[in-house]
Amino acid sequence: MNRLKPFAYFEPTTLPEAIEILAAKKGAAFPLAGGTDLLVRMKRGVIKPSTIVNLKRIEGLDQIKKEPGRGVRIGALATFSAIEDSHLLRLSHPVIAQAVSVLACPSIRNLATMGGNIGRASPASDAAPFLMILGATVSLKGPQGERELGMGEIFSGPGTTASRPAEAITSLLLPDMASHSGAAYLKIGRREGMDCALAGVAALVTFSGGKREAEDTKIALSAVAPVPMRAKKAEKTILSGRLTEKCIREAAKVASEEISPVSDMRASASYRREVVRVLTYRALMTALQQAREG
Amino acid sequence: MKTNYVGKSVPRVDALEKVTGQAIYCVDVELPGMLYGAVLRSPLAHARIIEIDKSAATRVPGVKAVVTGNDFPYTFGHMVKDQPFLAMDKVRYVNEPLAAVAADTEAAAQEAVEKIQVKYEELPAVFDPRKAAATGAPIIHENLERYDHSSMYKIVPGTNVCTHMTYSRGDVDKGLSEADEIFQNEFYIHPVAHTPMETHAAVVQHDPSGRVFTVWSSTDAPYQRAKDLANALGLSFNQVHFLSTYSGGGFGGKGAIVAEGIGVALARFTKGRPVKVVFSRQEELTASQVRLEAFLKLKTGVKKDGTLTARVAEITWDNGAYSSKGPEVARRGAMTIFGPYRTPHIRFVSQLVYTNKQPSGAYRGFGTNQVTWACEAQMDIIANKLGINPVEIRLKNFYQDGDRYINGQVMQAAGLRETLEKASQEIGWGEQYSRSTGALVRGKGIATTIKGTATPTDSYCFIKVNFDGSITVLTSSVEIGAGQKTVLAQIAADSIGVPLDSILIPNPDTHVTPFDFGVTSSRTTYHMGNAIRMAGQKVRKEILEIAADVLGANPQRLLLCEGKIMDKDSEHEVSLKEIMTKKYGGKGGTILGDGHYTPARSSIINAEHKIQWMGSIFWMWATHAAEVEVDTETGVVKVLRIAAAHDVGRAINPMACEQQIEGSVIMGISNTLFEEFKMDRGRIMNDTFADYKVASMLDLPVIVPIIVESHHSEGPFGAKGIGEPALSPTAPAIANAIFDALGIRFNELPITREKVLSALRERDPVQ
Repeated sequence: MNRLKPFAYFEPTTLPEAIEILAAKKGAAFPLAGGTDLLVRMKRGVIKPSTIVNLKRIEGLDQIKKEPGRGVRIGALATFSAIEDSHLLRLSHPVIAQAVSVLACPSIRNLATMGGNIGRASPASDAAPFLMILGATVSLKGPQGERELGMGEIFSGPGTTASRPAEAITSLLLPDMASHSGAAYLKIGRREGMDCALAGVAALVTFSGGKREAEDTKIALSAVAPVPMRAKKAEKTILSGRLTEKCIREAAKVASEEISPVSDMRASASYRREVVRVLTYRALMTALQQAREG
Repeated sequence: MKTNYVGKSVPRVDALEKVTGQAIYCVDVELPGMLYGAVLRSPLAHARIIEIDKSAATRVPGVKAVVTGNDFPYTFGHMVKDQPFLAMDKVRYVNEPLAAVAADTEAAAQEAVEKIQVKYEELPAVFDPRKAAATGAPIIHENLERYDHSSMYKIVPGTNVCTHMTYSRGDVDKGLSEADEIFQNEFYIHPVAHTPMETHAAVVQHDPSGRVFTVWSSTDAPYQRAKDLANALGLSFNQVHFLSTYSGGGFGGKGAIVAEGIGVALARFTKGRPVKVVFSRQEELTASQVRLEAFLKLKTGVKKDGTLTARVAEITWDNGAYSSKGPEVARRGAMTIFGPYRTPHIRFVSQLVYTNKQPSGAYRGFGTNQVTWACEAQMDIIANKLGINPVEIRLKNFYQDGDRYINGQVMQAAGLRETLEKASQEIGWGEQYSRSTGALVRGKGIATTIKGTATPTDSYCFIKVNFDGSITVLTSSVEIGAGQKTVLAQIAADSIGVPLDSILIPNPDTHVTPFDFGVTSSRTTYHMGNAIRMAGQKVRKEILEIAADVLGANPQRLLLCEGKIMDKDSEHEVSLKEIMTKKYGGKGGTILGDGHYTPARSSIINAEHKIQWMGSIFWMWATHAAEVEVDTETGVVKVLRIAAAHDVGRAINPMACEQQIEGSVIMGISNTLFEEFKMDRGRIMNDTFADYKVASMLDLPVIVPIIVESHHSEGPFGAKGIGEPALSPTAPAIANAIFDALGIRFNELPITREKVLSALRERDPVQ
């Protein structure tokens, strides 16, 4: 049986207290949220934290609430189940419930948190792509105070974020979606239920008024680069013209060319590349359909 | 005969204790003074052990014993005695146990394991059995010829060939010369894990004064394990005492000494304190046992009308580093590679080869998965090439009653045809349907299988009618999770004539319950069922004699039904309890009946001299029909529907049969499309369920179990078996359906999404 190595354990009840502990341990401390990834990696000996700071006793970090005029704020400790079930989010950002329904499995979603997912900075995150297309910003709090980072800035490499020492992710802000917009997240794993994405694609299409011209198109990809990424070249091919099926096909091809997938035991780079093309096409077509109806 | 329980889907007799959490599994066993074991495992696939320094480990607080192969220099092996309890001079696979620690806590045991220092001299390793069989390959067991083994197995000294076997019947050259077409194909089937919910576990206590090892284990055959351990340690059978717990799943994986061996080695040094060893999922996936990987070549001669004239098979099986049941899988598996088809001329060569990998062993089907994969895929290849309907080519060649098997046994083939007819009908074989929508393409496939049971094997039982009319059935058939207790209780209830809830079947205890060959080979319902039926009839007769005596009636005129004795003449009714009370009064007493079933003297297994062992007291037939939908842009194969028809002889408990069929189909889908070990120089990289993928609920189709009842003449109430054959046709049925959809044949398992897309792209490069 695997056992956890000894570690110091703290259960702060306020955020300043948590930041103080994290700061005192100078980077050797790991914040604990859902623990679905942290504890597994500790048991495997992949990481050996000397200190664990459990954030779950801090009240108010799991809220999902409307911020009038700005959007919806999701607390870092909101679980994916709470996010999936949130009536507010289902109305404001329906793509989230759809995407979260393919993230891990219900029992993991009951524990895993939005903040933990971002903080883990997994290249294969199922949450990062939809946060990227929705233009989410991440709020962090540390010894030097609070700041915000865009989803394009938060990841600095596989497993690492741009957060400073002792900074904790406190929440994410999702701007309201424009009318006449549609979004979808599609992923492929080795099986249907509960798998790490071999490739994940989120796409957003927004029409300007009633016209058929795409005002805004965003594509974000997971598991095909060192960090989750926007397919900016693919997005550009669409902005330059009307959103036709041919144009979407071209964008999908461009997306599959601007990634840098790896071959590992889960899938080969060429499979990932091919699947990105197919999923980008399908996600854009679905988003387009929704935008037309919306 | 009218039955009250047999043939009915009564709920499991152990359901309540299981759903309320009261059932004791091996991992639940807690004993006073119990220590916890942990194992040091080899990081290398093949290496000489130069030195093991355990001094730092022994100093860890709480550590009671640190044991190496030198401390406990014994070897075991059910078929070939080649496996040390703890590696001695060499390690032969990654994660082979080298040393073990017993300590007051799991944490202390684990900490001590990490402090054991080992010096190795790495040796060249070999992982492909074909390469391992070639001359010049690194030799894995230098002293192969010195290992004790049954004379049934032909060992090839100086090589890695553990066993070699050839067999022929008829004249294959003649048969091939009579063929209009000759098909030659090669197939590959991969190793897979059993993935039971409960990993391997054992609690072992050594009583130094009596030299008795007591072993709590969820193994599938307590007598076989106790016998093998006694044989390994030079003890008599009664010095190794097995107490079976409930089992959290076996599927063949619990058919070997695994955690028990570590426990025994540790318990020998803990001065009477029991030691518990529970494998982690990583240990389960990398160091228990797996299905034998196999490379199969089939050459088949066929007439234009689809009649088979001859078949030649060559199989190379991967034994892994040590022999579990590999030698017998390689033997029994090879025999059924010709399928349920009349083939006048056959020959096979079957070789089992050592590699530097985790040991292989029994896996639901015992070789049948491997050979059915090759046989049924080739039948489809033949049908396609000759333009014959795959259903028709099978019907044309199927065994008929009276045909002879490859050892001359006369086949009882009733039920075979019906499984094909019912499964193909259920899937809508031959009907028009919409085959494609956009990127999605559908197809249908079928596959049939033949599975025998190990023959002859014996089962014994005792039935105790207690003084209050309650019944205890003493049997060594374990409840592996398939419903053994329920089915055996149903047979007991109807054989004696008592209510089902008056019967209790305790878990096996080799000091008390009599011999049983094991819950393996789909044999329990038939063999133990027959033994219980015999014992039941004996106690029933004695009860009626006692009742006649007590009541002053004619025993011939008395009936025993649902625990009540009725006089046919007077219609006077007395309960069994009253009779027992009257007979034994306040002092108490027992009516004891024994049952012993062996098929050894049955005329059914008559065959040619010396090769009777190839036969089977009953043959299980099954056909699976699958419908799949393939996403041609992503390679995703979605199994939409599987109709699985099985000839079970007679369903003692139809619901339990359906559960076996459904469970097998799920297992089959899982190992056809998803399960796969990813290896790097002998190390399994995907050693957790995060990356060793079994089918999830979202991957499962509509499963239609179909029970065919051909009523076996010597089976209890006509029953045969169901546990194993339900798995083997699933893989070829799916592959044949994929071929029907895409026109692409996959001869190698598994058929992953990536493989499907890659094959599609090879054929139709993307524009």
